[in-house]
Amino acid sequence: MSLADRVKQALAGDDRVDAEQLVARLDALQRFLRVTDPLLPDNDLVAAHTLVERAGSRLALSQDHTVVALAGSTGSGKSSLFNALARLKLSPVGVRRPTTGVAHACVWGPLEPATRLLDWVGVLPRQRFIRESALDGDDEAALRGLVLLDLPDFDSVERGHRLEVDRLLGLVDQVVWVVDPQKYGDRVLHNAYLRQFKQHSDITIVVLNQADRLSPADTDIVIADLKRLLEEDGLTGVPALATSAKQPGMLTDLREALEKSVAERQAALRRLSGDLDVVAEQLATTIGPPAAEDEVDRATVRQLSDALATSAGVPAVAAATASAYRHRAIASTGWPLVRGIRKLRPDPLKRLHLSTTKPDAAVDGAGRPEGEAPVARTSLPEADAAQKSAVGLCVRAVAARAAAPIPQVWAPALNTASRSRLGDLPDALDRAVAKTDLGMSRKPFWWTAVGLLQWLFTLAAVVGLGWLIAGYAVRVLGLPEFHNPAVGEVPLPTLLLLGGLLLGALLALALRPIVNLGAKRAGRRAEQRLRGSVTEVAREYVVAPVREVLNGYAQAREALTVVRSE
Amino acid sequence: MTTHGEAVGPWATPAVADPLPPRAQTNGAPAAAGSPKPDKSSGTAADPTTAGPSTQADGSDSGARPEPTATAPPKPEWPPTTAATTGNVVTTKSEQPTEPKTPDEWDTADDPADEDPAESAPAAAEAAPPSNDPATPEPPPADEATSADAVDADSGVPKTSAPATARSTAKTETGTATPIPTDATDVDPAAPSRTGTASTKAETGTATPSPTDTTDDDTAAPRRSGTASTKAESRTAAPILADAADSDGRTAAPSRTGAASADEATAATKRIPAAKLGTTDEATAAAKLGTTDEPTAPAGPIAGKKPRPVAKPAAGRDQPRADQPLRADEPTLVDQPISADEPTLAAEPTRTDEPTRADRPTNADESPLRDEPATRPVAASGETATGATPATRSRPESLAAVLAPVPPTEPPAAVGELAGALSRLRATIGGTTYPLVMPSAEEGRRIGAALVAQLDDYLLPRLARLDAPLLVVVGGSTGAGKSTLVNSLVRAPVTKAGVLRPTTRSPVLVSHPSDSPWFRNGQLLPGLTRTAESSTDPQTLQLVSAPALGPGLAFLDAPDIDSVVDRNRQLAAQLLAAADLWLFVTTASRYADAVPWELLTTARLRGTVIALVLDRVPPEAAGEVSAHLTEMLTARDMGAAPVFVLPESTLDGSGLLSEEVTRPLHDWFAQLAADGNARAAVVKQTLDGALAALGPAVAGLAEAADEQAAAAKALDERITAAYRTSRRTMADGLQDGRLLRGEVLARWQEFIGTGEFLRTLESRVGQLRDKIVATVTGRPAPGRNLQAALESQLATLLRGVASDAAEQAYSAWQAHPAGAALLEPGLQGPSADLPQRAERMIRDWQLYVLDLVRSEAGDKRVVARGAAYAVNGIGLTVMIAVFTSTAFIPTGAELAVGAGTTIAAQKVLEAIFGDQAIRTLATRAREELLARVNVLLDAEAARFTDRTAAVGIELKPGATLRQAAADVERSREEVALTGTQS
Repeated sequence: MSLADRVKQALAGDDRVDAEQLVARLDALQRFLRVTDPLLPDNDLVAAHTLVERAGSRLALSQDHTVVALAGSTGSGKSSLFNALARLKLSPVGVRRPTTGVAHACVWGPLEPATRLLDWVGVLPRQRFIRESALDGDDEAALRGLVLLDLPDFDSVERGHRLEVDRLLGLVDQVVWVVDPQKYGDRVLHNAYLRQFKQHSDITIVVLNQADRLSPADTDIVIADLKRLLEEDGLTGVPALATSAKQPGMLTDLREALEKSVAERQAALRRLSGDLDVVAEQLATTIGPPAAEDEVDRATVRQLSDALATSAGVPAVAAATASAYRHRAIASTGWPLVRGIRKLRPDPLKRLHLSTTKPDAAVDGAGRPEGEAPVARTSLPEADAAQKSAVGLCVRAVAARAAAPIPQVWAPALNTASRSRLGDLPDALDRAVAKTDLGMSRKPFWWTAVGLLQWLFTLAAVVGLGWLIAGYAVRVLGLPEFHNPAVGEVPLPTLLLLGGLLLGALLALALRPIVNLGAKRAGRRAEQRLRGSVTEVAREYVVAPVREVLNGYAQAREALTVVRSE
Repeated sequence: MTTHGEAVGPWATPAVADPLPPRAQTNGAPAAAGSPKPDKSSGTAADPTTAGPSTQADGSDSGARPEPTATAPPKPEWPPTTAATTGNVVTTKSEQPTEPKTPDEWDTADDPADEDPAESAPAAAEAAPPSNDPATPEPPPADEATSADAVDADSGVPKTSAPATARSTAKTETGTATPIPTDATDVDPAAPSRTGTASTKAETGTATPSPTDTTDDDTAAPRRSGTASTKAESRTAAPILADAADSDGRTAAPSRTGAASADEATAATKRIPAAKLGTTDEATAAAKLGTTDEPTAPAGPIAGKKPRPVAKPAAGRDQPRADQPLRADEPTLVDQPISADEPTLAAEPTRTDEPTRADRPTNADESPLRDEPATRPVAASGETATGATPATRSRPESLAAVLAPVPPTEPPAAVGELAGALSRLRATIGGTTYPLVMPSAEEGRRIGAALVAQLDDYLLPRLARLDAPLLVVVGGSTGAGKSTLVNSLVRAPVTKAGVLRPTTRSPVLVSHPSDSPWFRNGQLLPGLTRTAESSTDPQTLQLVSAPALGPGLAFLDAPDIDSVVDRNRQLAAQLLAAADLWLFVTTASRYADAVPWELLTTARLRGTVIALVLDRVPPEAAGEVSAHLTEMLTARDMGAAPVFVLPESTLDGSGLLSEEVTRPLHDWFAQLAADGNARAAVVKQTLDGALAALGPAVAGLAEAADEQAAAAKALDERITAAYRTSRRTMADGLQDGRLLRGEVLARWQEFIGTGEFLRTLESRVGQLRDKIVATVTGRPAPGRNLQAALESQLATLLRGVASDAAEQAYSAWQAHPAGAALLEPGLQGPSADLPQRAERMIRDWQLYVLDLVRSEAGDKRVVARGAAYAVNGIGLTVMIAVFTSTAFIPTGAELAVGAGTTIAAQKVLEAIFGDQAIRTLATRAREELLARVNVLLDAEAARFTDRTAAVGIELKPGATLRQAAADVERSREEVALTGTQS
């Protein structure tokens, strides 16, 4: 099988690039970038951004032209080959190294349609040449649409040349690497260039120029060695052709290969597709296994909300609620004679500046249709150092938990996200605590009942007392005495008085355990509700930003899957 | 000896010369010859004085370059001098008719410059021997032989000696390398013819100077052999020595050998072995000589034995002289080459070339001659010869004993000092590390490694043996035709050339058989394993002997510098650093490549002598390309390097370039090989350049080291800052008594309230106070639940601050390029066992507090007991005191709980210890806790700072490097390898 056949085979058949799919992949890449731009380090995304930009430009330009660059070391005969392919002396050839300092272009066919393309590539107008096939009959027709570039060298002492080559190599559709028997094993050629093109083996051709300097046997040996090197570079299956600018016959293979690729109009797409593959491969390191949005597990969140609760003074509030319950219960159901003293003491909840009314009650003003009245700051003490430390540790744990299954590059983003609202957290916690209905807004029914009973007993006692006083007054004034009814041996007023007092006291005493029980329950309930609120805050202020990042990760992952689909 | 001889000019001359003059005259013909020479030499000397051979070369080069075809011009440059000398030599030897001229030329070429004095000196030397003669019959002949005059006297013996001397001289002149062709061949034929003839005398005369110059030579002569041949050798040795300064001894050996037989010369590479061989060696040498020169052979053995006694007296005289030579050696050396070169060049440019070429053929003839001696034996003899050389030096000790311990004088003190300074510098460079990733670090590491390699591979061995064969490293791009060129130069397929790139993977060293021991012994490039077969292992050095190559010159075919095989590049760089002369091979299509130019620039900065070969030049492009190359060279300050343009041509059947093509290059090297002075000058220039380049290179390293230190310091400061914050947080946390109060209070009550009653009372009181304070201050008391266990609170706080600090430190380092490289994921948080260590620390602290209380309380314990305070209780009390007493300060809330507990606690404690005692204890306990916390945090910070510790900031690596480099520079100036004239 001749080389030409192999070239044909390599370029033939089903390895065509579907333009639509390419566009879809580019879109996906753009999506990926949109999501990851704020989250991942810039360095990881530079190549992708460049590609998106470049692909957009290239696809907007002529698809009928194939830009092929002749690249190689100084002295390899790029310009000679260029001239030989054009069959005109367009690019200066010389023995002085480096010879070519700027890129030359030759367009097969009319120049006009390729102008914008050449502008974009950046070939100066005076270095553009036309190879109009009319002059040669149909000889050159097969190459119509070819834009051949003669690049400067990349290995001479002129650093500028290398920069120019690097720039141009990023833009062209196909590269013909021109090597020669002396330089085909150069380090700079392989390490700095060919290896970068290992994803582009379908648009890469390597030619061993100046093959006329070797004997045919040596040429085969060198070609074999060159192929070995190319394989080491990852360029398996790339055609390696022997050429010579001096012997037109040795250009046939190269010409055929170029004709083929010009005819297919595929090189630009293949190039971009290859670039996409490269970028996708690079980006693949940023994406790992899927991570559920709720990657942060319950245990972690609970720990966090515990720490937050402690720092927000939830235990204190719960205790205050319990004592407030006790306080209020006693105030409502206690012995009325001593209730007054109780009222002198402050309500524990009020002392913390916690509202004791229903939150709903605040929704009285029609002026605040959309929501709640502003919440006042509580008087809870600020969190101490240990509590703050505990919160910090838990926030860290959340980020770490979320970062565990996904690639390390995301860790900083997650860390930052977990802390993005840390500054607002104290206020949010306080607000949550203040807003929470501690369940103390409504008096229990039995308080009223017992209160009434207490009042009844008191009333009885008062009545009894009044009665007795009245009786006493009557007696003092010498008025006829009352005949107090008696219950058994005890006169009724006395019974009323003593009974009222005694029953009141006993009732108050008897209710103490119940009140304590109720206080405990109230405290527990308050704590539960407070924890609920605090957990909400934890979710909103710590977990939600983390989830957002995880969500971004999932989107990026999905987008990259599309990018990587081939 | 030669060295001495040359040296003699300057120093020895005065001493020896004064007394001897008359005798020198007596010598007559030679003397006369000598006298004219001196003039020349002096004239020449002046010119050379300006600069070593290199300078001359430069001059010539510049002159030559302008011409489009570099080929012709280049020759004259360096080689020119050499060529001239060689030419002269050659002529003398080969052409008997020319003899008259030759002697003169010789003289001029040789040490002649010095010879004026030298000659006189020799005369003296001769005179001395005569006196000895009476004592020992044998010696006299030897002496005579030694002196040119003597030759006449002993017609029989002298003859042999005469030829020998002639050879030796020739060799001497040629240096180790070139002599081969002319010497060997010439000698044999010449010897017979010459003997008895004036020419012979003339030659001997030349030779004589050397002996005279170097006192050693005289001694050597006797030792080696009573026979003339021996003397001749010794003489020869003398000139040689002159060529190579200190190492003269070694060089001398080869030269002698040359005299005796080419083989011997080759053999004489190693002094040391020779020394060991001692007498035996001499004997062997003699034996070999015998083989070569039959007549001499019998004499050899005898000489070996007898000479010694005779020599001793001579030695006595010599000793003082010897000292002188040592000092003067270096300067003299330099002068001579120059002087010799210039005159020759100026005088007979045409001639030089021609003769040289003529020599080639002769060389060919020679090679057979050499072969005769048989390479193997040669080697052995070489050793012997070498042994002899040292003997020369050591004369004082034992004339005959070749082995005589190496003369202490030999290596001038300055050189020894320089070697010492270099070793120290090497150790310093080797000991300097660049662990931090900095822009300069990679380079520093690379340059440091390169410097160490250069010191090991080249500078130290080269300094130890200045007379070792000149190593030409043929380096360049892959595919430039290095191997083909080497093969063509030695006219044998010694190294494999091919079309595959890269072809050469392991270096191949081609030397004359007589030089191979030196390369084989591994002083040079000690890191490479020597092999005899070709290998692909880059760690091996294949040694190939090529008789076609003259002694004194060796080619090293290096791997490429720019192929895909990285190892090749490193190896090539290493080899280039070990080159006395770098023959840089490039091609018409490669000469503008960036990579080689980087290396060329490096070589220029290093002072390496460079010659360029522009290979594979299409004939039509030769003019333009070579002009451009010259232009590029000039632009890069390398305009002095000669450029040889080899046209593109087809290889002959054996894969060699045709002789026609390589002639210019071949001639150039032939001339270089023939002229010991030029060779020595090359060696010295490269050596001196390399030494001089150490300064700037080390300065760069020092800068990199300083940067390392600065970066390490900056990094450490960042860590310190991060952990300082955490310490402050910790101190604040402990200042804020609330943190520890809760649990402590509870336990305080447990311990204190031995009775439940007291406990409830206390808590009641506490609660009451809380409430009162709360009412008064209007601030609620924190709930009881807020108070967790003291230990866990403290531990959490510690963990928190340690995490913060670690994170802060981590990000601070991440922002620093060097820091980022040192980080690893584990450093993002506190160390894994921090919680455990924190708890342990807290428990230890509690124990400390208990101990403290126990010791402080002492006898008051009983009272404490009485007050229902257990020691534990007291400890806790103190803890409470720590936090509660301080707690008063910052927040009103402190008052809440504080009032009750503190007051109660203090009340009780006051009763026991008194207020002051409590305060002391409290302060001490808190301080102790903080100290322990700091220890813990220090350990955390050390995880970072340990990573920068490798820099060794306190060792001031930069300053140490500079100091070491300055020492080397000072020594270098003292030694003044090329700064001769003075």
